[in-house]
Amino acid sequence: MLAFKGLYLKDLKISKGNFLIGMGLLFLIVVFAYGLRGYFGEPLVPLIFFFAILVLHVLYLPVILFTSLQLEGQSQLWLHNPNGGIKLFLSKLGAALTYYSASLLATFLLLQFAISTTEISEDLYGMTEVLNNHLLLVIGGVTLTGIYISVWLLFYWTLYHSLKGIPFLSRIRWLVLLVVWIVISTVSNYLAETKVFEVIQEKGTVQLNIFSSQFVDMTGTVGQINLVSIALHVVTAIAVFLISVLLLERKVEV
Amino acid sequence: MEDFQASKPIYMQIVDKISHQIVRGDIKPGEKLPSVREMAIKTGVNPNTIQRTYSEMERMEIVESRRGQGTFVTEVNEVIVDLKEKLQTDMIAAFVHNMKELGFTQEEMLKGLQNYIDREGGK
Amino acid sequence: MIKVEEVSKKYGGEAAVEGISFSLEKGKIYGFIGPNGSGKSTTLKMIAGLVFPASGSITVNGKKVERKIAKEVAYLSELDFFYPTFTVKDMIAFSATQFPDFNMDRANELLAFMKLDPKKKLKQLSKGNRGRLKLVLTLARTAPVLLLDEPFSGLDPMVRESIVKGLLSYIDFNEQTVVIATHEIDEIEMLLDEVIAIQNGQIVAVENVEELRESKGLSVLEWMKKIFA
Repeated sequence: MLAFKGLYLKDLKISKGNFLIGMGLLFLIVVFAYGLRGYFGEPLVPLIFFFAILVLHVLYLPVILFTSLQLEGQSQLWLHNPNGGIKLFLSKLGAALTYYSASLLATFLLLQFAISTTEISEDLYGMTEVLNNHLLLVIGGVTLTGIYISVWLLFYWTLYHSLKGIPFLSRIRWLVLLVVWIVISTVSNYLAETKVFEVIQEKGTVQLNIFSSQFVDMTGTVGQINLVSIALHVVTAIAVFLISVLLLERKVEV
Repeated sequence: MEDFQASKPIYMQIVDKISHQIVRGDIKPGEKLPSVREMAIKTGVNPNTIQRTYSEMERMEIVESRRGQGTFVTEVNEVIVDLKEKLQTDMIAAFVHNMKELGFTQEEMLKGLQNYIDREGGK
Repeated sequence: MIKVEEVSKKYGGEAAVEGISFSLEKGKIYGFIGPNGSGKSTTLKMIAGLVFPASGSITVNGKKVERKIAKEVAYLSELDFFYPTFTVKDMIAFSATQFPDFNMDRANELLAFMKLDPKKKLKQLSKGNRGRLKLVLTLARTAPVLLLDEPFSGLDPMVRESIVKGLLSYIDFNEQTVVIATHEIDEIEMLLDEVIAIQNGQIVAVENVEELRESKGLSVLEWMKKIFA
């Protein structure tokens, strides 16, 4: 626990600069949004801006994680450490999640402020319902998707650095990553179209009556939460994470 | 940090140095020598080498190690006198050997030595 | 203590080390010497579990080396890498949480000995002081094996001397095995029990320093000039 805390604090310190830059950007956007609102006399501008920023947070976690990994990747000396790869990676994810939560909270509060100070009379392309009732669901979706992308990022980053040790592949590492990506997408698309998958998908679908029809889940199907799909994503994420850890332990060199 | 010759083991060179200090009286009989580590730091030499120096001096009975206390210069006067004589003999032997190499006779050596001491005042 | 058997490693088709074997005993200080690019660094990284042999085996204390051997091996890198926003104190605190054998009292003593200001940011330190800090971080550990990769490179004589004194003051010379890889032998000749000479990825010779003087009448420096000629 002491070791993990140490790693976590280190990773917080590493990414602090980027977090502050993010907060600075957010501040500039606030100024900009209210500036535009005043200039065009369009009261909805801040609301739309803040909602967009909230959704864009899906990339926040991966970006923080990537910059943090890149710093370590300069020397890979962080691997001179008796603690396991799971700890090393989880602490990076944890630190990124911490900054993500802070930034997300700030954006959420801004959005709430904008909502409460703006009169939304007309139906905003169907967004009224989302803003009023389902914001937390959006945040949940954004967060889960962000974590999912981050885990894949860990995988591709580790794979990239693993390839350094293989002489004939080290020069075309980006190409290898691309090929791996294409293969994985093709296979998963193929699997998604099979009969078996269709059947379990049907069985696993839960109609979201309580949430009406606004929630868009990760598969893009409106109004449903697909438990099987979510379970599959969770299993995939864990598997990809563990494979990344294995690569880090066995293949990444200083 | 000190300089050492290449051709002689370092532990022997340190034995020589300490012996000289004892003979000169820089280190008194019964005086405690620095610990192995202190000596290592002072000289910049590997501690195992210093350990060997101390063992060698113990074998020569110039020092004795007292359990838990450290290494002390012997208080037996004869040993120190012997050491003094040995060092003197070594020096003279080297001197005589070198002079012979240069082809000097016994008388020339003695005369040269006497003249040198007279001139330099034994400094 | 450390056993390297028939170990080979290639980088980009070129052999960094080729079928090297040697073993290191507990409580001795080894000089791992050879010209730049001779395979010293690669070998040290392999013992530290940071680079993996293509073939052959390495064990430390009977355990097959993997990355987590870092628990028993303290490794000082030749790289001048550091977390830019960290202070000296941050770095010490971080290392203390990572290595169970990290001795905080010793670290503080070493900091004072090396005259390092704990509040200074790493990026504000001179290269020499960062070299000193690396040594502080390594020597504060009571790990059975210390691997130092080029601890003197690019440092002025004052720093070199303080590093030698630091080594002599703080290693547990009955328990810790120390390997110092360097291409500049004169700084550390007096420090060594044994020398391992490596060239073009092959072990050229292993000698006891005192025996070299006794039997061949050579200092390590002179001996090196001879074998690498």
